[in-house]
Amino acid sequence: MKRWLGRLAMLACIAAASNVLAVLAAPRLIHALVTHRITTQALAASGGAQSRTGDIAVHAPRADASARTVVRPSPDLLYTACVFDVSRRPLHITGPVPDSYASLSGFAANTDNFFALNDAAVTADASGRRRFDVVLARAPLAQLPPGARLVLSPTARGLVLFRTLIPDEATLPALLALQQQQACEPL
Amino acid sequence: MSPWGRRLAWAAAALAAAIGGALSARPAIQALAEHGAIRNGPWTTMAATGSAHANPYERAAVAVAGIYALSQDEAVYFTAFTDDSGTPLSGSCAYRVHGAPPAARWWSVTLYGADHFLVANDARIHSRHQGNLALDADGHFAIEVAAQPQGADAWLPAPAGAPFSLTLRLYNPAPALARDLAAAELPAIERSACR
Repeated sequence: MKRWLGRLAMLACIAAASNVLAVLAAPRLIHALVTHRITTQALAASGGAQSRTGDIAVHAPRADASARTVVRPSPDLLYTACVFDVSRRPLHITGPVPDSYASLSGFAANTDNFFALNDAAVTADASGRRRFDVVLARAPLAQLPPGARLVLSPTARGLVLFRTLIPDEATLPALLALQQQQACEPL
Repeated sequence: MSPWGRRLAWAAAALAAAIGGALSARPAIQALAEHGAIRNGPWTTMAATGSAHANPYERAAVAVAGIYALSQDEAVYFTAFTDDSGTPLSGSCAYRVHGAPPAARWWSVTLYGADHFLVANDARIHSRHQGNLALDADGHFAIEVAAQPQGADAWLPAPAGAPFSLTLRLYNPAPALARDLAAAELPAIERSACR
């Protein structure tokens, strides 16, 4: 009897450990699936002209009922995603700041949002322009591009997301043009 | 049973336990995330969304139903699967979502199907937000959520006869709202008629 109870307890421990491992793995697996979809779509959209799938800005079309890349997208935002790997080289992220809400945010491989910077926090440079200008790296850097701010990523791989609000339909053409200027390049 | 038979049976039981544990992850994520959710009328949210302080079940729940959500410093996401009476939202009914504009720099109400994606409709309307909603004399807005347009309020198309949910996005929420999400003044969701 005692032996059977011991075995049942061991089976319960195996089930509990398996449950916790699946829960811990779920965000990373879902993130891997979504980034795979993003890079696949980017490659398809470039028609083979694009040589790399990571560390590059993917400008998503405005979300509608056909959008299936990421759950619960906002139809009132334009999204630009950069799937990054900063294990070897930092990533330089740039983009103009519109008059309405916009943000630049970073997500670790476990999907934690480790930084967010919105338009209100971006000041104008000497020429009066406002730009997102961030260098994403794993460790502090000796030198940064002029005007750029350093953000340290807790994981080598992850995702950077631009969100650009569409406050009204009349602004959409200008915001789509602005979206095309949102860029990610290895430094 | 021979010793080898017992070992085989034990290995099969251990494998079944491991598979059962893994398969129970999804309901466990949902149950524990709901247990830790903040409720405000029909709306629920998680204070730890996007945060490194989220527990593994909260993190997994966000990954399943709202991956890449911003942390509370930047945005707050409330989701409603029921109306004010606690009845699940359904495209068989019409609803009036109304109230004072939430205290945030920008806000919107978006409708999603049971699969967490936007719902196809001829009007191609998937959300209502502060930029396309009129306020009445009291400074309140009203949205008509239904499969077909009902009246004068702004229409947000629902899937006919199918379940759906609403997400209220608040970008740059007022500090007082973000401090006490359970007490924030949020829109009511009143069921008006069902077919």
